[in-house]
Amino acid sequence: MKIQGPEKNVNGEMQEKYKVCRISSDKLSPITSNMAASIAPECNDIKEKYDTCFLKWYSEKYLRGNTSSNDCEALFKNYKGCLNKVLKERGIDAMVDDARKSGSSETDAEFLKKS
Amino acid sequence: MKVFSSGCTFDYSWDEVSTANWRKYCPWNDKSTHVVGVDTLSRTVDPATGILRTERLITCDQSVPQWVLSILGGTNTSHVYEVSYVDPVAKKVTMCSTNLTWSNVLSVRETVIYRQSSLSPATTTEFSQEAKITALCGGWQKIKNKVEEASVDRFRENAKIGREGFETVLEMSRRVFGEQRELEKQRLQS
Repeated sequence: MKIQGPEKNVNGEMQEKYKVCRISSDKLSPITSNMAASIAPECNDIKEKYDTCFLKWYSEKYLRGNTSSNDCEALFKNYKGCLNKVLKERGIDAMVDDARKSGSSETDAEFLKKS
Repeated sequence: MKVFSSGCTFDYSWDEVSTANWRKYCPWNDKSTHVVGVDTLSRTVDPATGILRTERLITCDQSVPQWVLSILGGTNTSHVYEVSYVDPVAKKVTMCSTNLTWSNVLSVRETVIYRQSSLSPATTTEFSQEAKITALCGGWQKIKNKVEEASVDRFRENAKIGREGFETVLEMSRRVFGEQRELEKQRLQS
């Protein structure tokens, strides 16, 4: 079986999506940008803001023991509002619900407990 | 059912790996161009344990063998649902994912774990991966076996590529975090 190389896989649409989050290397920063795209291009801007906020919180607060803060709540609410509309339109929300029902309670029981 | 499993050790601390993991499919990873979308569906911290639970939707444009497409129908775009658990005390990330596309004919359940290594916990992280692949379609066992085998082959190939891609992300992440620290130091000194 052959795996397609990245060139073959990248079609016009994907390149468009990648452009959104690719920034020049001199601007690279661990906490600003270089995130994966959303499946909904119209949500990319707000998703980028949320992801950036989350990563900063994760590395600077969460991993240092401040697990109860929720700095990115407002951004996440905006991003979710944008995303949920698209998931509904494409029927993906129903697929996700099915997957939730069939598996995540099991994994919750196993991995949400204190180790 | 067929099972694929693999494991390796990354020469990075668990903090680095678990942080970079959130950016595994970013443009730094030139090996993951088949991933076209990573969306967070929900995210909560369990107040009792501090465990961070995240649901994500991963969307791929995967090159599926033509003969599979002709049996299963559909398109090259597929969705994966992933629930992950970060235990900051045990220093362990567990990610459980399942396919949403073609889920009536093929079940792919994958569990990935990144945990602080026991030998040198400050500098290395152990990775393990297990996928259970079951063809659900009725009909000939022969066809089911073939579908399962092809899926396992694909998994094996992708696992190798995935590791290489993640190495790149880890390297970039360390470099950029280092540069950031350097900048902050300079700012403080001036």
